[in-house]
Amino acid sequence: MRRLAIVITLLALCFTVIVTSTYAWLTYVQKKGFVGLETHELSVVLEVNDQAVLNSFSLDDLAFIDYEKDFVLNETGTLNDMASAWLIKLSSANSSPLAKHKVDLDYLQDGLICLLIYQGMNDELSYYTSDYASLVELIISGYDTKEEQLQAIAVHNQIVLDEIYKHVFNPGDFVEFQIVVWGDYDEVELPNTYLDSNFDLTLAVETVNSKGEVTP
Amino acid sequence: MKSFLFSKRILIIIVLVLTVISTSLFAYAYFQNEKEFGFSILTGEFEVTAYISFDEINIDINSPYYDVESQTILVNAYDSDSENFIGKLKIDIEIDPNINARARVKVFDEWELTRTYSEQAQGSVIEPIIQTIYHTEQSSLYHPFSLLKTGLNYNLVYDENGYAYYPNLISKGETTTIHLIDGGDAYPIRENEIYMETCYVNLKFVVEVVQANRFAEVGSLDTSFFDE
Repeated sequence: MRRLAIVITLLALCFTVIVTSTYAWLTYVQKKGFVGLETHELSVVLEVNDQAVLNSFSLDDLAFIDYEKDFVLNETGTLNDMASAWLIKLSSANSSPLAKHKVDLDYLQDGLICLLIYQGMNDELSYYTSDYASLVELIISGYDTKEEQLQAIAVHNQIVLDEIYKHVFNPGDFVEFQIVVWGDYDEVELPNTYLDSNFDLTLAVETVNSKGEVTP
Repeated sequence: MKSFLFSKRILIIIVLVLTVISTSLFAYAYFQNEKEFGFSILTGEFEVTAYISFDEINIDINSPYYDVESQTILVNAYDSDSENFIGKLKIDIEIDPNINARARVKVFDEWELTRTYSEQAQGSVIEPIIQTIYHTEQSSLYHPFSLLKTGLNYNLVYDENGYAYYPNLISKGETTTIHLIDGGDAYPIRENEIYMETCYVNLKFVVEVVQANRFAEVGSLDTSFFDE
C-alpha cells in the first residue's frame, strides 16, 4: 500500500512537472498570494510598406515588362524602376510566446514574376536591397530557358521563406522581407486588356510555438 | 487478493500515464495558429493634368479662348490689353504616375497674321490676307522656332522630331510639374491708314507619358538617349 502511495505521488509529481513546463510557454502572472496562469495567443502583426495590414492590402503600381528585353537583358536599365516592391514586416505580437513563423505565398501565377528578398531579423541589416536587377542576374545566370530561369527564382524564393521559418521569435521580434513583382507581358492571356488585369495573392503565416513544427 | 491489488495498481498507473500524455498533446496542439493576408495588385496608371491660365486665371473647355473642336487655345499675339494676350499665358503640366515613367511633350503653335484693308476710296473691297508666320530659332528661353517662352526650370531634351523629353525619371507616387509655357513675345504687327494687322496663335500641345522601360520603343529612341 505504501508502495502504491509512493508510485501515485511520483506520477502526480511527474504530471505536475509536465503541465508546469508546458504552461511555462505562457505568460506567468503572479498575484498576491495566488498563482495564476494567463494564456496568450500566438499571433502575428503584419505591415506592408510601413502600413499595418489586418486582412488585406491593395497596391496599384504593377508594371508589365518584356521578359527577355527587360527582365533578362535589362536593355533600358529600368528593371529596378519598374518593380513593384513591398517591404513586409512580420512581427510576433508583444504578448505572444516564443514562436516560429512559416510563411507561404502563392506567387506562381501566369503573368506574374515574383522575387523574394530576405532583409533580416530586427533590423540586423542596415539597408534594403533596391538593386533587383543585379540579384536577378545572379540568380538566373547559367540558366538558358525561361522555364529554368523562373525555376531558379522559385528556388531562391523558397530559400527566403525557409530562412524565416528557422528563426525563433521572441515577443516583439520581427523579420523583414521584400516581395518584388513585375507583370510579364508575354504571359498575359489577353494582351489587349492586360492593363485592366489584376492579381490576387495570399500570404499565409502559420505560427507554431518555438518547440514545435508546423503540421499540415 | 494480492493479484487484485497489483492489477488495480497497473490500472491506476495506465490511467495516470494516459492523462499525462493526453494533457501534453492537448497543450501542444493548442500552440499553432494560422493567419492569411490577401494582396491585390493592380496595374499602375498615370494621371496628367494641364493648368492653362491667362494672367493667373485658369481656363477650361468652356472658355471662349478654347476651341473644343480643334482642341486649340486661341492666343492673342499682338494686343497686350487683351485677356488672352500671349504675355499672360501660362501652361503647367502635372504628372502623377503610379509607376515610374518617362514623359515627353510637343508644342504645336500656328501663328496666323491677318491683314485687313481699309475700305478704299473707290469703294472696292480687298479681302483680308491671312498668312502663316514662321519664326527663326530664338534663345534657349523660348520654344524652338517660336516666340512662346518656356517656364521655370524647363530643361527638356529634344529629339530630332521636335519632342521634348523630361530628362529625369518621373517617380511613382510623386507629382512632377513641367512648366511648359510662361508668356511669350508679341508679334510686331503693322497698322496704318491702308490696313491693320492682327496676329493670333492657335496653340495645341501633346503630353505623352509612358512607363519608364518603354521610352525607347515608343519614342523610337536609342536606349542611351538620356545618358547623352
